[in-house]
Amino acid sequence: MRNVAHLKLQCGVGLIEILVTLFILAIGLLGVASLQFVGSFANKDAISRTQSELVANQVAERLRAAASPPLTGDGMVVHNQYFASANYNFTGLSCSGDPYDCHCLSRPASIPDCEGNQCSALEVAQYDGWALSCAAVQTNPTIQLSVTCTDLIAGDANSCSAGSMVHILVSWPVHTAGNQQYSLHSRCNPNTGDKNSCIFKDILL
Amino acid sequence: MKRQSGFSLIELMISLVLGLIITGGVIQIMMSSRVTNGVNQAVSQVQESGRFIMTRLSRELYEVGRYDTIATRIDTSVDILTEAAFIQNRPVALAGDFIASNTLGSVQATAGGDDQLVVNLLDARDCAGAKHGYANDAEFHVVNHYQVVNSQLRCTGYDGRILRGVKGGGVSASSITLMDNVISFQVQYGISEAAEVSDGLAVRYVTADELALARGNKQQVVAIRLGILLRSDDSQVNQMAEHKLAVLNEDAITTDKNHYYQIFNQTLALRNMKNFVRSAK
Repeated sequence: MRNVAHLKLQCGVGLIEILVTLFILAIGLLGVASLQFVGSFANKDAISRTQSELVANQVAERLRAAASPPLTGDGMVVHNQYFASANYNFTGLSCSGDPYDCHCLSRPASIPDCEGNQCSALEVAQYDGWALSCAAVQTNPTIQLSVTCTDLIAGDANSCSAGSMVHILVSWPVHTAGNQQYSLHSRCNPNTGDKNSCIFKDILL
Repeated sequence: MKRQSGFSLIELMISLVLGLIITGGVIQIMMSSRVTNGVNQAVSQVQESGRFIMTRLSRELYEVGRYDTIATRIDTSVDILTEAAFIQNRPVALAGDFIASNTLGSVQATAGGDDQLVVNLLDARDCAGAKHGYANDAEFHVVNHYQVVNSQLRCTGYDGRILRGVKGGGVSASSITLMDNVISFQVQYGISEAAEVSDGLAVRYVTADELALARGNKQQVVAIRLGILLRSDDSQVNQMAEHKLAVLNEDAITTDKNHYYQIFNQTLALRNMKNFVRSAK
């Protein structure tokens, strides 16, 4: 009799149960799939960061290549045009599409030809600004470059007098999606509402 | 006692179909994980390679044109004054500079080919780590030759004294492979104005074939621009977007679907050369 009672309790899995299982599993699979997105966003961010690191390094080195001893003060100075934002990020050049394809496959006509001709310090600054912007947008077209200076002696001929701190900032917009959160640094986001990641270097020439 | 019954055929088939859907979903996720993983590996490998080669070349090339007679122990078996003059005036070597190897020099390749870079400096070891028979801490005239052979960036180090013909013995070279998967290696040289008037600024970026003329005009090399195009190993990725890339002054080339490509650029200000040029003013 014990056996019979036991048998009575047995029953298989019904269709409803299977459907519920399927539903729960689908939710789980969606979770795994979203992990893929998070992973590739993080990866894209890592690429931008590595690239920006190399670019910032290159900016510093270009400034050193262009530096000359000043008339007064200790340290080195570079031409004022290195701190003009108009020389970076293809300002004044129009483009519909990828900036690298537009401006970097060959030198735009408005950029001084410092390979074929000898350039003045001003022209080298414009040429460098273009070349550096090209290096920046190679892997991420939204990367922006900025070179600024905290001028020690305001009002003299140099916008970055000898011994002043030069700030190199390479930034790119990020999108907060799902559980991908960024801690936004104030130096990357000067205006409220900005959502940028960035790297910055402060150097003395 | 209730009559026992198992699944009916219909129920079994429905559950099989549902099982198939679930398995299909899992397999889809596995497949896309595999693709993503391949891309991630290709990208990180290329970036790591690029960072390494740029760090390595930067460290070596910063010293180009260096000749320090005060702080270093130089092997003095040859005249170090003429050696200093040779290195400081010829940071980048051109064909004809060396008596013992007349063709050794920097080359601008035609039609987008890989350039060759030959530099002079004072160091304790050449780029392959060889001492060429000098005492352990003694420094000597090192000549490093960077070139791409079969997509490998190689560096060959020489004893510059033998090359210049001021020391006897056969030309001894030591080679080392620095990097695989190099698709393009391009070099440009930032030259100063004529040494009498220059502040050490690079005013023009030329290729190696214009250096002889610049040297004639007393325009010194004060910066070196490197452009290296690297790509990933074979069969890591297979659906990359094709796009065009231009390395320094060369014409754009189109990438293929089966590799990840990235250009690494660096401009190196040659500290020794900038000071040398400034001191000549």
